[in-house]
Amino acid sequence: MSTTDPERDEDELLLPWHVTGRLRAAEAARIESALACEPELARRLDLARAERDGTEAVNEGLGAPSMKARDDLFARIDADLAARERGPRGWLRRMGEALAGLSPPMLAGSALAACLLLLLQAGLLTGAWLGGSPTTYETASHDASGPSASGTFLLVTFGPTATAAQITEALAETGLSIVDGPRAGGIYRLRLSDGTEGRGSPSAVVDRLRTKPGLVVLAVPEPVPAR
Amino acid sequence: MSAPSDEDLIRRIASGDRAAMQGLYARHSTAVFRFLVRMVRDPSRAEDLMSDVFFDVWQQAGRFEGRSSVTTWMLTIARFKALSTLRRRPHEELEPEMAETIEDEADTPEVTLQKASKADAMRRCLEALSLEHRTVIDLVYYHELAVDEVARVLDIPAGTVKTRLFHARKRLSDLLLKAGVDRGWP
Repeated sequence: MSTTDPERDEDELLLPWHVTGRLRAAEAARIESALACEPELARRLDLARAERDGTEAVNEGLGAPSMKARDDLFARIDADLAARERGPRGWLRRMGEALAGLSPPMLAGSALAACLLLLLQAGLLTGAWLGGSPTTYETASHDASGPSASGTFLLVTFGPTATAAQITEALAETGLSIVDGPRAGGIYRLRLSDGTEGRGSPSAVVDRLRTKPGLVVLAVPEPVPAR
Repeated sequence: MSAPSDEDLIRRIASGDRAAMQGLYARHSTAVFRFLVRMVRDPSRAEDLMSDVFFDVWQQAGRFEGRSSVTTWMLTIARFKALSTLRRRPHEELEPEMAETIEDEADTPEVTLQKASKADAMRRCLEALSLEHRTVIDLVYYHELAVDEVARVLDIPAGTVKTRLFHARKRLSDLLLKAGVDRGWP
């Protein structure tokens, strides 16, 4: 760098990279043209080549790392891999690999099953939160759905002297069955079975019950609720 | 099938691919080792440092952003580790160049014989350069890095890389002259 020409000085600075071929194309072209007309620059390029050859020789003489160094390094890497497998990232990776191994139909089916499971769980939670009726006691004769809503019904109070056998016989004879009661005042709600409806109207059945001495105190058809 | 690029290997290493790490090691371990030997001048310590460099690569591959070549990235790590080691041993930190081994041999028959071999004198003078000078010489001539790559490894501006190499070459000429080789430059 002893000239007064800055470009020439720059070319000289870049000669080592021209030797190794690591210049940009424009810089390399500029130096090539300078070398063609400047013998001194060409001589200095030879000096750089000798430096490159010497540097390569020095480095080649340093040998290579030992096998022990390699083995020690990969023992460290194996230990690190094992630690990663035990960590949370290893668990996620294994799950990801398992999902990646599924065929598209299996993956779609698994996703659908997961969605259904989530919906079911959401429904159960919502029901428990909003729809849960307060728990009360239930009698054996009063199921949670309440008395039957369809059919023909009578309201009856049996006489205090009526025996169970008389009542059973009368019910069988008239096709009646107890569906509710006893309510306040000893009133039972009786349902006229479908198969016996043809034998008479509710009023006729009531009349037959009343003909039995001491069997009933009260017997009336249940009023049909207005719709 | 062509060999995977360094960048491909780094991407696989980032996902924990041990075989990719073996490939990268086979490709670059010798160059990294030699760079470290030239810096710390102790093959045993250089092996330990080289192992640390590759373990860093194994652990930090996911952070490699591709803004430099893989070679530049590894040599940057290697240089940092070598300097850290040298700083922990201050008596070796600013080692003087070993010019005295080149000088004072002027008229002995042995030196006369050695002068016959310019290549041998070149090697001895290259080994005698200071840490700063031989590092920039190695990065350019042996590792064949471009100007901006050397700048990245040494963490200095590109212009400084050019002038530092110029001064290293000038010093090399001085040492060669003392060893009996006149290059006629600078």
